[in-house]
Amino acid sequence: MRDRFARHRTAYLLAAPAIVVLAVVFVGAMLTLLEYSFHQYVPGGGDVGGTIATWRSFLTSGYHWNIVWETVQLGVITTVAAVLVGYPTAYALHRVRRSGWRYVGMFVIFAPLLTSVVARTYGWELVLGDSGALNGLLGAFGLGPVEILYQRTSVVIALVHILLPFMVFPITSALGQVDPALGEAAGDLGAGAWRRFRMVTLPLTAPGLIAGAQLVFALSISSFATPSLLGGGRVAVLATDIYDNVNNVDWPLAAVSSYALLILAAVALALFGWTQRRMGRAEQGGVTAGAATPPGAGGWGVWLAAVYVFVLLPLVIVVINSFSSVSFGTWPPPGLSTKWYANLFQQPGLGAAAVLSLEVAICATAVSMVIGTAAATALVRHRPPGRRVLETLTLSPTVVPKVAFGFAGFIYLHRLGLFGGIGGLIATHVVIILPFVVIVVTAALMRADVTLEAAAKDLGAAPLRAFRLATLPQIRPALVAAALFAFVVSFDEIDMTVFLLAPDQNTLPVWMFVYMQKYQDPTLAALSTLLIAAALVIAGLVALLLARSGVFATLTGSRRPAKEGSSL
Amino acid sequence: MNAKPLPLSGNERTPDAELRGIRKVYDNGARGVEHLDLTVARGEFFALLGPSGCGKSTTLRILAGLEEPTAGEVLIRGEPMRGRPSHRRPTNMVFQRLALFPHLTVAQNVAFGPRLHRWPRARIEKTVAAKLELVGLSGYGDRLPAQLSGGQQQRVAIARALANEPAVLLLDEPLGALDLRLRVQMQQALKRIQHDSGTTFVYVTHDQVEALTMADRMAVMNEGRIEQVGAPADLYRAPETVFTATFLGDTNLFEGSPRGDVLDVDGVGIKIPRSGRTVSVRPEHVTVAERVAPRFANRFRGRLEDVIFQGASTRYHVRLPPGLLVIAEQREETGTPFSVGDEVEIGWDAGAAVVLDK
Repeated sequence: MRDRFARHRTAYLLAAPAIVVLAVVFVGAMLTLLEYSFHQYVPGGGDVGGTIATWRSFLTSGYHWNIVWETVQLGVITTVAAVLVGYPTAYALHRVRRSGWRYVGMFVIFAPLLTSVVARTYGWELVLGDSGALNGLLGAFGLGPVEILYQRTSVVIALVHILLPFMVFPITSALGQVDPALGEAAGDLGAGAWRRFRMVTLPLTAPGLIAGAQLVFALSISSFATPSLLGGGRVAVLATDIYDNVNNVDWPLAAVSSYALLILAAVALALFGWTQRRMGRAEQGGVTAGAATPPGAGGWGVWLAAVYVFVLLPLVIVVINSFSSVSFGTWPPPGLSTKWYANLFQQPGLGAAAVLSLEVAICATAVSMVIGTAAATALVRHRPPGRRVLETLTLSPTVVPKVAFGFAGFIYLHRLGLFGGIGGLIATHVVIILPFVVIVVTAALMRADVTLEAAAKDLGAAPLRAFRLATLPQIRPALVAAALFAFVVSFDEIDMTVFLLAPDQNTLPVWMFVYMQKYQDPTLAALSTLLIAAALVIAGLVALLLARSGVFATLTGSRRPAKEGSSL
Repeated sequence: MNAKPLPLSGNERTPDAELRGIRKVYDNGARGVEHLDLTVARGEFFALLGPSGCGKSTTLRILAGLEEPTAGEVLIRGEPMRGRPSHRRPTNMVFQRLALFPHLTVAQNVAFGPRLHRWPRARIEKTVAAKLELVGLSGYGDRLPAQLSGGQQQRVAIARALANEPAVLLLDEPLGALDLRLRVQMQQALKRIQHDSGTTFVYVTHDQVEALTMADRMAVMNEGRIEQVGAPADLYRAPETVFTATFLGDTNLFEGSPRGDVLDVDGVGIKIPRSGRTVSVRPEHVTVAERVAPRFANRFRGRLEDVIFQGASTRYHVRLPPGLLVIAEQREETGTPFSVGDEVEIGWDAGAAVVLDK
C-alpha cells in the first residue's frame, strides 16, 4: 500500500490542490445544502432541522410542479430551437470553402460568448420591446406590433442566442470527423444529395448533435438572469423560484428547489447519455477525415447571413442605443447624444463592482490554471489508480446548476462565517471554472508528444524543467485559450454570484442585473458597449497570439513551412 | 427514382469501359490526366499501375463519375456517361479508405445500394447473402465494421460494391492499408471473387507485384499519360519505355552509342538484337560464374563488389573494368560460392537485351 502511494506520489501531489478545493468548497457546500433541505422554515423564527416537511410540501404542491413543468418546457423548446438553428449553421460553415470566411463565421458565432449575458439580454429587450427594433421594422411594412417581450418567446429567443455556440461547436467538430469518402461511397452506391445526408451524414453527426443538445438543455434549465429579466415575472422556472424563495427568507424551500433542479439536470444528463450511447455505434474507430476541399456554401450563404444578423443584431442595437438621446428603448432613436456615457461614470458603486469583478476573475483564473493544469498532468501523464474518481470529481461542478451551487455556497459560507469576503467568491469561482481548465488542458496534453519530455529528461533536465522546456510550448495555445475562457466565465458569472454577495458588495454583471431590473435607460447600453469593445480588443489580441503560434495554420490544414529553430 | 440503368444491350464484343481522349486539368493548374485512351473488355481484370501522382486515381474517379473530365468521353458498355453523376452510373467503387458506413452493420452496408434502388426485400436479402458468401463472410452480417479485422472489412467493401451488380467494379488501391501477408491472401481472394462474379474489374495500384499477379491486362501510367498497355508478362518481358522497364521490376539500363549490332557503353561493347541507344537487361537473365558457358553472346569479366542474400535468390553487383556496374540475380542451391572482391565472369543472351524507344 505504501509502495503504491510512493510510486504514484507525484501524481497525487499534483492532483491534491484540485481535490482539496473541490472537496472542501464544492462537496462541502452541496452537502450543507442537502442537509438544509431537511429543515423547515418557521415564519418569524428561523427554522428547525431534521424534517422532511419541506420536501413533502414541495412534492405535493401543484404550484411547484407547475414550476418544474415550466422549466422542462423552457429547456425543451430552447433546445429544439437551438438544434433547428444550430445544425444548419454548423453544416453551412462546414461547407464554406475559403478558410478565411470560415474563420469569420466561427468568430461571429463564438464572439458573443465574450460579451456579458446581461448585455445580450438587454440587447434583446431593445430588439423585442413594444417600440423596439423588430416592431419598428414590422411597422414600416404596416405589420405588427407583436408582443413577445416579457413572454416565454423572448426568453427562448435570447437563450438560443446565448447558447448557440454550445450547439454549433460539437456539431462542427462532428462534421469535421466524417470521412468525406463516406459521402462519396453513398453517392457511388446510388444516393442523391438528400439521401446522402439523411443516411450517412446525419447518423454520423448525431453524437455531436446530442452533445450540443445536452449542453443547451442543461444550461437553459438552469439559466437565471435571462428568464428573470425577459420573463417579466411570467416565466416562473426553478432558477427564478430559488432566487425568490431566498428573498422571501424561506431558505429550506430554496434548498429543496435547488435539489429539484439538480435532480432534473442529472436526469436529463442520464437521458442524453443513454441516447448518446445508443448512437455510440456510429463511432468511426479513430478514422480522421481526409483533407477534402469543402463543396462551397452555395445557397447556404443566405442562411449564414441570416444567422449572422441574428447573432449580431442585439449587440449592434445596444451600441446604437448607447448614443440615443432619449431614456427609453425606442427604435430608431430620435436623436444622438453621449449623455449616457456621462451618466454611466456617475453611477455609485459601479467602479467598486468593476474592481471586484476583475479581482475575482484574475485570482480565480490564476488559481484554477495552476491547480487545473497540475491535475490534468496527473491524469494524463501519470495515470494514477483512482483517476476515474478524480475525473468525476473535477467534472461534477458542470452537472450542478450554478443557481443551486450559488445558493449552496451562500448557506455554506454563512455557516463557516466567511460570507461577504472576497475569499469565498474566489473559491466558488474556482470551482465553476476548474472543469473547463482541466478539460482543455487534458485534451492538449493528450495531443502533445510525450517523447519530447522524455528526450528532455534524457538530455539532463529535471522533471519540472523538462515539463517547462518540452511540454509547455506544445500546450501553450491551449493554456491561453483555457485562461481566457476561465476569465470570461468568471468575469461574466451572474447565476451563482448573485447569491454570494453581501449587501455592500457588487460584481459588474450583478450590478448590471440589478440596474436593468430597476431602470430601462441606455446607461446600460453605454456600459455594454464598453464591454463589447473590450471583448473585441481581447479577442483580437488572442487571435494575433494564436496566429503567431501557428495554431490557425494547424486548424485550417494550410501548411506553412515550419520556422527554423522554434523557440524553446 | 434515380435507379442506375444497366445498359446491358451491348453484345459481348462491346467493351465494358472506354476512355476516349480524356484530359483532366484542375482549377489550381495541377495536372490530373494528359491524354488518355483506354479500352477495358468485358469480364477483364484490368490494372492501372503507376507511382503516386501519375493520374491513375483521377482516371478511376473519372470512370466513377466522381470527377468530370476537362475533355474527352467516358463510355460504359457503349453508352456515353457525360453529365451522369456517380449515383447514376453502372459502376461501383471500392474506396482506398474503404469508407464502410460505421453506423451500419455488415449486412446493412451491403444492402445500402439495393435499398436505394428500392429492390424488393426478398431480392435484397438474397443478394446480401450471395455477396457475403462470395467474399467468404457468411454469418458476419450482424457485425459492425469496427468489429472486423482489416481483411474482413476489405471483403465487406467489395461485397457492398458488388451488390448493385455494376457493369464495372472500380478498386482504388484497396489493399494499401494491409500488411504484406494479408495483402497476398487478399490478392488471391480478389482474383477468385472476380472470376466467380464475372464482373469487370478496374484496379488501381502503385504496387507492381499486385498488378503483375492479378491483372489480365494492365496499363502503366506516368505523369498523366499511359506508357504502355498489355498483358503483364508482355509488359515485363518487352517494355517499350525506360519508365516501364524500371517501374516493373529491377533492370540494368545501358545507354550508349550504337555501332551495328553492338552498343558501346563506357567502353564495354554490348550485343543488341536491333539498333537503339538504350537497352534493358533484367538481372535474372545475367549469369554469374567463375567461367560462364560460351553460348552467351555477351560475356565479360569483372570484380564482385557486393553480394546480397535475398532468401530465394542472391544478387551480385559486378564492376566491369572501365567502370560499368552490372547487377545479376540467380538462385544458389547450396549458398553462394563467391565473396566480395572475387573475379567472376558474367554473361547473357543477345535476346535478353530489350531495346527501349524512350
